[in-house]
Amino acid sequence: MRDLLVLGGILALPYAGFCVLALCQDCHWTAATDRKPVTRPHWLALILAALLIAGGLTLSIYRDGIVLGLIFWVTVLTASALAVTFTLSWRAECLRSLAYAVRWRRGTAAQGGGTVKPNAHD
Amino acid sequence: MTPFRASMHWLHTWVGIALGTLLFAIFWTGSLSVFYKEIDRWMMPMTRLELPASVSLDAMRPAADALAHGTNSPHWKVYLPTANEPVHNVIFQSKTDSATLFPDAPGNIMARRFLDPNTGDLLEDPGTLGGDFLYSFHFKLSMRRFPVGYYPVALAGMAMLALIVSGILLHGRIIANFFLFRRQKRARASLDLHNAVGILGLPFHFLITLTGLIFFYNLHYPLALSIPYGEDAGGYNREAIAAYARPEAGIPAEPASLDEMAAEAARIWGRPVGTVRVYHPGDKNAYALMMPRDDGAVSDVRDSLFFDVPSGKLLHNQVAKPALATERFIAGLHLIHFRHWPVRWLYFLLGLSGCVLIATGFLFWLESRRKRHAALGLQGVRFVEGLTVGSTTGVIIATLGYLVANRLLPSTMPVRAAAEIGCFYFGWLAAYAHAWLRPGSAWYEQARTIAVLAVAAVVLNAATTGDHLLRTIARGDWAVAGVDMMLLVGAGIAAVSARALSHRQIAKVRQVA
Repeated sequence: MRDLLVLGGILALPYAGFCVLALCQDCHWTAATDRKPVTRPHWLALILAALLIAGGLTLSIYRDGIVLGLIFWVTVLTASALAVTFTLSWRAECLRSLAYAVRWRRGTAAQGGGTVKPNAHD
Repeated sequence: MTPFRASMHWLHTWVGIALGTLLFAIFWTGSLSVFYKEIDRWMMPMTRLELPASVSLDAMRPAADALAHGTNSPHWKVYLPTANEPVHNVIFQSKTDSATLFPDAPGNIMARRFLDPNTGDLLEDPGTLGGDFLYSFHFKLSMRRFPVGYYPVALAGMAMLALIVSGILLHGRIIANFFLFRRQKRARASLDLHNAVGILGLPFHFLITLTGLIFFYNLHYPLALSIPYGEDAGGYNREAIAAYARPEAGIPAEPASLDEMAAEAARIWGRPVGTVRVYHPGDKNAYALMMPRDDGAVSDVRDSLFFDVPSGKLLHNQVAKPALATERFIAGLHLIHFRHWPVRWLYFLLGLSGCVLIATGFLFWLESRRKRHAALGLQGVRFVEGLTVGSTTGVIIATLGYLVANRLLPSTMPVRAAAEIGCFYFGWLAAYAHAWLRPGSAWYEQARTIAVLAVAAVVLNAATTGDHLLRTIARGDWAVAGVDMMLLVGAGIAAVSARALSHRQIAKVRQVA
């Protein structure tokens, strides 16, 4: 059970990290929210993305040691980045909440401008 | 476009078109080779045995000796049973050519037979090359007579590196388009997917291509060995791998216990024995070379111990030198013989992403020229489209034809393995012919064929062996169940693709009408 949790973390953390990185880009943020961004991504978002990706590395080294852990992490990085690409292409709306969190500002009621045409990613 | 960029564009386009077929076949068979032992279990029902808690070398030795004596082989080698190959895999030299034999070089024909891990008895001849055919296709195009297949593969590997580098140089907006795939825009979809898979898969594609090239450095770059060793062609191997050898005495002698030698080897290494090779079996000068099995390490390091077979005494302890250890680490990165199921699956999926990269490159070439070629009356698009279909769906059909033939051809057929390979090549050629003869409908018709063949393979496996999916899952036979499940998943993807492609074709015809 513990191994499954660690394995889940190794796969999920880089995926989440790449999701945050992607949502820092205007076109992907628009695809997830159907709005034009009016604020820049929060600087904490980039740090969070780096921490999530590094968290995957830490867990894979913890599980498999330095050599196998690094190989595992590099292959997971590629696979999770591709998974984020496909998520943004097929189910971008699933990342809506995360998208708002990425550009959150204190005192800002709405992070997005006017609605844009549906499926802005296309 | 600057002259440099134009030259990179030319290189990327035409090297891709010229070698895309070969590259796709190499990536496809390479991806399948991750699970070649599982494919062996699927294609060789007599080897679907349970792995015993312990195995005896002394129990299997008489059968291995008999195999070697039967063909005058100077040695035999056994890979001891593992979880994904639960049988003794015995390799011996044979001068007799038969379909189940695979030569390393002309005059050095190696035969393979399997022994029961519980009793050491010889199992029925599988009459197939199984996953080994796909595995050897991956690195030498499965050329059985002459070892020339390595060179086109090496050329394709070098071309792949050039394509990766030129692709990066051509891609102007790597960061901006990092996760971009606009699947609804038909004109952009193939290029977006090509770019996304190329950029995001870059670490894997670069690593796997480079390690594959380094693996055969002595073939691609013979100077690496001829400079330090000069005319002494076997110098490196003698120093690095096999430091001990002695000739046959011609005097028969009773062997000591191989199990005791293996126990001694395991005590010295702290790891179990994985491979044993016995030279001059039954002779007074017989000696055994033992190598460890280390499933948990990337590096397939070839430490070796040599034992005197008649007395059981240790003759020589060969520890891998740093150069060999480095070489084996690089080879280990490519071969992934270590036991790590998530990494094996990731290698499989990322290998398939290489196939997607090549296929989308072809598709972008076609889409960007289709209208212009039609207006000018050129036949280039039609030719390359046939080439693309035959190279992508065609090789998948060929592989499935190989599996279906394995389940349909009788096991007693004398040239069964050759016939299976014939079915592979016939399927591939037929796919090319079909693609060129029916350019409008080739994609979806071949996708349908893939779906039908994949389901047929699963049904035939159940019908001819009784091992249907529910039974193999219940038994925990994940090798056979895994192949069946992947066939069904592949059939599903092919069926959905065929449906989408046929709808698109019907819409296109209506639009023209």
